[in-house]
Amino acid sequence: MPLTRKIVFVDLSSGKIRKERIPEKLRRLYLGGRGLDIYLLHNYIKPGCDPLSPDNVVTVSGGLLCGSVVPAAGRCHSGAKSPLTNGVGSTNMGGFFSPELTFAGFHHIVFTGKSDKPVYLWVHNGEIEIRDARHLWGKDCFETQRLIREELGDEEIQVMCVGPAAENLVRFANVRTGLKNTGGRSGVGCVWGSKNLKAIAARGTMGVSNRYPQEALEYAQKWQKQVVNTKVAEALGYDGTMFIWNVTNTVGLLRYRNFAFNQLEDWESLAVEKFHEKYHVGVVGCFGCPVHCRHQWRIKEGPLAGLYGEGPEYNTQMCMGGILGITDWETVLHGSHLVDKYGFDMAEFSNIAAWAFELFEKGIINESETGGLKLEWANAGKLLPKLLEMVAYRKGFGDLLAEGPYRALKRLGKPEAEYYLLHIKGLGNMLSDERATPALALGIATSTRGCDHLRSRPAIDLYHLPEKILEEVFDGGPMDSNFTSYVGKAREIWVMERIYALVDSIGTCKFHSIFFSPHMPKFEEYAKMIRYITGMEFTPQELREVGERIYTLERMFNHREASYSRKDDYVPERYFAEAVPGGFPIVKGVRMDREKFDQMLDEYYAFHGWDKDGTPTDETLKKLGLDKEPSHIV
Amino acid sequence: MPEEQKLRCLNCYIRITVPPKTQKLTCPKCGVEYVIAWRGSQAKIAGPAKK
Repeated sequence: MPLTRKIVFVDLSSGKIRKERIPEKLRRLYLGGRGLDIYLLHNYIKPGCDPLSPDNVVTVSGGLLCGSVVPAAGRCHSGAKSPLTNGVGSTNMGGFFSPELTFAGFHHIVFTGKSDKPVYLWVHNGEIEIRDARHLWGKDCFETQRLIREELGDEEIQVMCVGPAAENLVRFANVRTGLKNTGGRSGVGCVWGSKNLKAIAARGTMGVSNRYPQEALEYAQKWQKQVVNTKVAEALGYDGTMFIWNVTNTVGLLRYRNFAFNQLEDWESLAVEKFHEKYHVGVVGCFGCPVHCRHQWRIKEGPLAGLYGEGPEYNTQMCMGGILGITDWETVLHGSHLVDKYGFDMAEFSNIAAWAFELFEKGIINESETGGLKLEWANAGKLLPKLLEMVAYRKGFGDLLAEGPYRALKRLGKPEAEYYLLHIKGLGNMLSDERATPALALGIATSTRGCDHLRSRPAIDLYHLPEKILEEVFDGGPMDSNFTSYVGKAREIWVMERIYALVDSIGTCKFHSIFFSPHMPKFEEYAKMIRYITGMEFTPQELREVGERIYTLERMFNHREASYSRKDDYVPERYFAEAVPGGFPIVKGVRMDREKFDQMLDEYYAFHGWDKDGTPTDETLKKLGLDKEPSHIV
Repeated sequence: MPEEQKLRCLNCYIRITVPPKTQKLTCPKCGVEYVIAWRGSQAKIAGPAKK
């Protein structure tokens, strides 16, 4: 049963290992995965510590339902105090690692301290061993996984690891597993590197039983049908997440050349149809997922012939493509391969690199600052592989970029450069231009891990659904079908935050939630599945409260560690100052309205029970049982 | 032969009929023009038509 999976504390300084049962009280409050991880971070991190010091903590976890019969119950979470934002570091990935960790007997791992030499953790059927990783240090993310399987003599071993970027303390280094599964955002991989933690290998045969097996299996089949019968599952299964690009580029909701344009004129060059024609070789899925949204690709001819990988995603099209002004598929795929090899976040890289290109264009920096690199947009494709290597190994100008937004800006020492850097709380923005979409703008502004869409993105806000359906999906109203309206958007973000917190804590995929379709599982379905598999009873309202608790604790962590408050819950100044230059009539000429944004923020805080500065009130903390945190229950 | 389908205009949200094998489609309400791609018998919006 999932409730028998344990938590293990690994002190990397002393080498001591302690295994514990996870108290049911904690399960009821936080479930598992991201939820329990923020509890552990809040309780175990030394307040105010440097994120790259031994006082930081790394967590790795599968969700409460990980490895069970629930479709797509294979997501994995890793957390730490972020070296980019100083707040919540939290990253989530698919694949097969966390189910294997579950089969090996564990749901959570907590790393404290710092090893005096590179190590990796070997977890197998209830046993834990810290092993020497000096021979792996310096190896890329692909080689590391292969070498560990060879060393341990089992091709079925799942490995989560970091690459050279983490070893070199690139602030946006990530954690990875498989060919493509990436825990990209917030620089958690960098914290692994600071602890000399290279990898975790897991292998297990301790199955996960269900409290009510018949009901669990029947409901899982019903859930699967509910998911695959949606139009979005069909689109994902064919185009992967790239189906989104056709819509957002057509309307004009994307970033090109940092923030110069919002629509690609020569869009056919980066269209998914072109990818299918020349590079696509198959589709695969994560653990237990019937949607299989991940492509496999191979470059068949030319100087990059033989290069292969998984993906690309919508994120890849833009981060290795449009944001840098690159419109050639082979350059995009090559870039994607390299970030996966070196192990750092392509979203963070593309944001800070695009910033540098715009500064060069505007004459704010020149070749004396870039070490001779001509950062002209027309050169971006040619420079991309070199820039990626320079960042991974902190060479030359890459060393500045590797610092991330806050520190790169400080090191550059040019106040006029700040305006062009799109970040919120020190995390760079991704591919979207949210000026015409207030809901999406509020989501990235208030996200607990900085400028990020996966804490709350209500993609269905773009579908122009009837208001009656929106009221049903978002537990009330008033709502507005128009995505450029500010009405009802605070409610959307509040509801989505709680759903995503829940999904990240039970360990299923957001694509099986109302992210993309109003017909996907919600609180009622999650409550049933939790009961059938674990026996724990929750009403849908209690699960809403669990989501609220997780999100509020993350907010508290950010207050404590980074002093974030209302002033940090805004989109970049450019959103208010500059109008959308192109695209469809519905978006062209739009800019964010400051007064309406403030009203939206006030509504959002009120929904959460926070004061006007965005601080959870005493009453809210008491209601959620957070008034005694940190509580050290485990 | 692909059957007649409807797609929603991304600018004004009305549903537009897509005749079989159509390569370009103009919204009758707002005038926005699209390039259409076909996935078997299913039509989808590929991108904006060039002006």
